[in-house]
Amino acid sequence: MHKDSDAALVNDCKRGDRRAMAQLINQYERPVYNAAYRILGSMEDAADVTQTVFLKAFEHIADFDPEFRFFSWIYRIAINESLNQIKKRHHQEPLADSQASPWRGPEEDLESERLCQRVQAALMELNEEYRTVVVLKHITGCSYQQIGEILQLPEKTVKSRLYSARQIMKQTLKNDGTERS
Amino acid sequence: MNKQNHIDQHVQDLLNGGIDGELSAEERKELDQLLNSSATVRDLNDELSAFCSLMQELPEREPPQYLHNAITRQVRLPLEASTATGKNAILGAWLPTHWLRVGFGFAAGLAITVGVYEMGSQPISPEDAANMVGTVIQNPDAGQGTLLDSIKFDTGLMRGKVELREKDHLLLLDVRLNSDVPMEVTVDFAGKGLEFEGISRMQNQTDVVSVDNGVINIASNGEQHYAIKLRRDQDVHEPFSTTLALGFFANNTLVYEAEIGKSR
Repeated sequence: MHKDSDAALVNDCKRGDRRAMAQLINQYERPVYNAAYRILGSMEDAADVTQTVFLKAFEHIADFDPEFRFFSWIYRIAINESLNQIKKRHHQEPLADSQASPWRGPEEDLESERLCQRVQAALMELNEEYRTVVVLKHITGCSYQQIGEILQLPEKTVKSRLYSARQIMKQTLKNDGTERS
Repeated sequence: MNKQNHIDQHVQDLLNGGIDGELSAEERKELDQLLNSSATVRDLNDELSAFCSLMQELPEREPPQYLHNAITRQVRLPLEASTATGKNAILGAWLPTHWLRVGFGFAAGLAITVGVYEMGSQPISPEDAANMVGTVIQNPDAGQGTLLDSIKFDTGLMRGKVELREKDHLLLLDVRLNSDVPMEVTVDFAGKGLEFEGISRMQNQTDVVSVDNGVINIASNGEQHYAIKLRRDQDVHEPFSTTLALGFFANNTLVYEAEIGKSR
């Protein structure tokens, strides 16, 4: 999240510089994909959303206001597209990690993978408002102020949602027998 | 949860902020005092810390290999878009006569058995299938297999997604398209060591299909979802490593073109 270098790259993109575009994609492809994946619980949907996010972002790059930060813009698109994807599949069950990614690694890592699956499942049980805040905090590593900027919420609301979401997830994992002593 | 109910908003903020490293020196001091004086706050802090460390252990997922190229290939920067109209000539000259020959009217009358495509045990080569015109039938197994590449587009006139999957010796090109006008889609597989195997129709449109010299043409309208099957040479065991050229035409004008597959 380098405001100045991002701003310079965005300006270059506005002039049609594809290397600048590739640099921005390099920088944000993985975090956008991971954020989408954690919100959606499906790798294919996350890849789909990631493509849409960048296509939309660059399609409208000329309208991007340099007063704002590129990362908050791209994450906002990512969150909105992920939520749209959820609406599109409204009648389907969200995929848990276990369904989306059958484990094929070494046996010794299996327990760790199962733990991740339970955490992902607990994340999927949160409502979308809580899930997006948790994902922005824990997956993309945003600060409260950045989350507020992305979701266009007061910082106070971000803190409150984050606290509630964490309590709910903690309780879900406790009920599930997943506790960290 | 009972403990939580007795914790006021200010203490919640302190706990959150302490764990997330977002407290001022003064707030940090206040939290430390609370942790020293209240077992309830201490317990909550421990639970929250344990939960957050669990979240930190979630592994980062690797985006699929095709994704980066798929994105960079499709993105058109504003300045590029305004100078890209010259590409319209690529297939435009060929299409008018071809589609006059094919015609949408064939759809209803000439139900030449795309059943042949689906049920025939022998693959249909591009030569065999030259000038075949027909409708396509349903096939529920389309859209399966390993995802090799995927592209999405929205040109205003039409929007959609094409996925390229591989299953055994078959390449499946899963096409989802929604257009406001009649569309013609071309898939050029000439010289790629592939044979046309058939098309699975997934919705009840009267699409028109022809295959000519290694180019598949599908004319359709509205919302469409179908899978084109291409068979690879049985002796080839390595993953598919080339690209297929796609063209999307409205009123005989190329409105979008793309390559799908492994261009790396």
